[in-house]
Amino acid sequence: MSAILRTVDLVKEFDGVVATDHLNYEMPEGEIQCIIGPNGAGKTTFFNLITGVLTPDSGQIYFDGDDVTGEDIHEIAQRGMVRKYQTPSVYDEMSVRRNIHIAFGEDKPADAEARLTEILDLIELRDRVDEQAGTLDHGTKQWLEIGMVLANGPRLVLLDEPTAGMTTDETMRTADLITSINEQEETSIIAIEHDIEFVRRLSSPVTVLHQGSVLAQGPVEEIEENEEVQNVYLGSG
Amino acid sequence: MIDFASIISQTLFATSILIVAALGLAIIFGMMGVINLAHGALITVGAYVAYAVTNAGLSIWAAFLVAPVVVALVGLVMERTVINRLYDRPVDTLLATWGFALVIQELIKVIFGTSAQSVPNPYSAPVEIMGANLPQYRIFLTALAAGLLVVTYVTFKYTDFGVKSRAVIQNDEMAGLLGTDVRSIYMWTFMIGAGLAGLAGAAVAPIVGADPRTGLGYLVQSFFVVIVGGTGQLLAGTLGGSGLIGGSAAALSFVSSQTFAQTVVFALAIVVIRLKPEGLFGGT
Amino acid sequence: MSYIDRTKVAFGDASGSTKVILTGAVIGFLLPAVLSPYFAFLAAQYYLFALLALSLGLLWGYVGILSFGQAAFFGLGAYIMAWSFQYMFVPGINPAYVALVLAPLVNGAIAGVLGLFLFYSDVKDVYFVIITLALSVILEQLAVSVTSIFGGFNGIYLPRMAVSIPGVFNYQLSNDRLFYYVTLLALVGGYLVCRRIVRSDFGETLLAIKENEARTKSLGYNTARYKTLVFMVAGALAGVAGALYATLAQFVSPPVTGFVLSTEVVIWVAVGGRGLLLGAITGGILINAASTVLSSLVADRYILILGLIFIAVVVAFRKGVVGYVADRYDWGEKL
Repeated sequence: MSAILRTVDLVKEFDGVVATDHLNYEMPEGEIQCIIGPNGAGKTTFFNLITGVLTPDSGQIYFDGDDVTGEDIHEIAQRGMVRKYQTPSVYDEMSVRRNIHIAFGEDKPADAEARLTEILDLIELRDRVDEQAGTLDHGTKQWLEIGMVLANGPRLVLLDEPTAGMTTDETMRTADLITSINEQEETSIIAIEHDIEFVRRLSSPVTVLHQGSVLAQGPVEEIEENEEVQNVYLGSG
Repeated sequence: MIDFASIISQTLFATSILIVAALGLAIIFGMMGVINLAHGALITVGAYVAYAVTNAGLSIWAAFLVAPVVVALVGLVMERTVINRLYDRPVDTLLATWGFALVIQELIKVIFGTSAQSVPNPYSAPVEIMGANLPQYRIFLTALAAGLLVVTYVTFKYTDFGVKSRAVIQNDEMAGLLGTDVRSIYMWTFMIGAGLAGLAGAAVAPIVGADPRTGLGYLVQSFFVVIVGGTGQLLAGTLGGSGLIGGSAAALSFVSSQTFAQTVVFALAIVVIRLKPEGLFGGT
Repeated sequence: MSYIDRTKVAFGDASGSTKVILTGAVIGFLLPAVLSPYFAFLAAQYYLFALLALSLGLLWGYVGILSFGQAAFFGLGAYIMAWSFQYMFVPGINPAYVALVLAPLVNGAIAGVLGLFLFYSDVKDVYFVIITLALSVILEQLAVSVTSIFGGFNGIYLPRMAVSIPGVFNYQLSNDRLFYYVTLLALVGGYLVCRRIVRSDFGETLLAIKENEARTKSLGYNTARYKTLVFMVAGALAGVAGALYATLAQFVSPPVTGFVLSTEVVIWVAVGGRGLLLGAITGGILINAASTVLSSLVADRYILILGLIFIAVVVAFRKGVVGYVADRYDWGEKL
């Protein structure tokens, strides 16, 4: 299986602090993977680098085999890498319907109405389609944003702490939602997460970041047993 | 035959004026992030205070003391009535301060009339330095600019108020939790910025007089100085921005008209901003 | 159902702003019957100012770009009209037609270049205000100093335009009531253009950019391109307004390009209602009409009053007159 995303020796420094330290990461197509790590490990910086928000100081980023290092945010999004932000980033002033409609991107699907309904069903917002996005509660907004990301027709979805601020129940349902999306839409998904139960529910491979580079990789159970990982979490906890 | 003394004097003079004029904005916009479009109007008020004071028979030095106080009070009114509600609304701050600029300008016209007024120059006699005849007042302005830079630097770096002010500006939530009276600090910082604008108005009045129309020119120039120099870097930014803009304006005015020089300088400033949006010395 | 009944139903179903615009247009059409030529002249001016305001309303209300330089485009359009009667005069071709084609094109091109230069970079949006302000100042200074082209403070005189078909007829619109219709048409036309832009997927994207540009970018939209395109349309609209203004007033001079007018436009739109096209139009007409009335009462002090109203609007009445009406009567649609 080919890699949908690959970074080679990615480096990013801020005022002398190395946020990303020769990061080598590979994500096979069609899978779900999680990225975990203590605060300051460089997880969000990593997302910022691969989506074009930040330009790396050195190193390369390959999306589906193409070198996208240094490309602009919208160019990378057009290639099919779409991101869900940590704090819900939906259009509060607009209705759910419009949010999804805008999220379709410049080229609206031929069967826009049908696709809209499909996505609304997935995120369970069909009966709230004309409500203003700003009035939705936090967890629902997160799901709306996931729906928007989906509407954009991505090949790779990046979720930055999708369950932040959610109840346990919502968290579990979100894990199931993500699994459904991966199966139904055949999109690859990378999720940054803190919630171990969520990661377990997804039963996906885990990458642990620490101080800007990969510390360990493997299934959840292995990672949990890993002594280095334990030290890192306990040490900086 | 290139008259170096003249060029240096002109450049120094242009730079000094800009430093004096822009310093207040460097504090209010550069540090606090408040887009104060009334800056030019505040300078004009300072100039008219100088006029009023000297017209009443007092010396120009009295004006230098009164002007900053008066304008600081104007700043106080602005801050307490309007600005303090808009700290998290930059576009509205911009608009509201513009409204103030209009109101202030019109009030000046109502009180003093629409034509320019002249203000006496204490140092009009030229002095000879290195073979060139330099108006003494220019030297005074250069000294004033240097002095203001030093005083501002010392105040914000070493005094209790200065440290608190910087803390509040960087992270007002944290500063507030640590017991600092955030609202009060914002108010005083704004007043100091306004006061400096008033001083600038009084300081340049002996040369350019008091004129309700000059405010705009100072406004645009001051903003360019702060933006090109770099927000967040009070000293380096003001100095660098003033030097660049003042210097190039001075240099160009040797080879072309004032208007053309200013146009070119504005165009250059726009290019610099485009290429380095955080300013030459910026990047916090 | 009879034609009249169907029209009534259509009108009843129309959105709030559509109703107002239709009603306004009908009233505007009938007005010259009761207005003296002098008032028709004034009203024509207001319509052109409203068109200028519309250009800012589109830019500010729908993309969130605040330009303090729309008067530069207005003024340039006015000078282009003046030049086409003076320097660019080609016998046999109606100079006004030349200007009415050139003005939007030239302005659009300049706006395009500026947009390419500024929007495709990390220049902060608030800096755009300072930059466009500087541009108005620059243009006004040029107009004052480059007297060979701009005529300096003395300005340039030009005649009232004519409508013509080459070889068939040539009728000069010296009658103010007739020219009034030209400006009304221009305003309605401009509004329809803006409305077409806004009520579309393109317009939806504009609102998305206004609300959250980063999010919109990360959904694959080249936001700089959208901003530049709208900036070009706004410049073109302002240019047409300026060109017509020049031939209405039959005189052009530097203040028509300057920062005073530029900043007044911002006040018109802010007070009228910055979120709706109708707000911009209303602000343009209302404030200019009120200024004319006030200045005859309190001379120059009206600027003072305007400034105070402006501050009040900015602090407490952000939506402007039409914005509040739209909320009160629940118009829903953002037009």
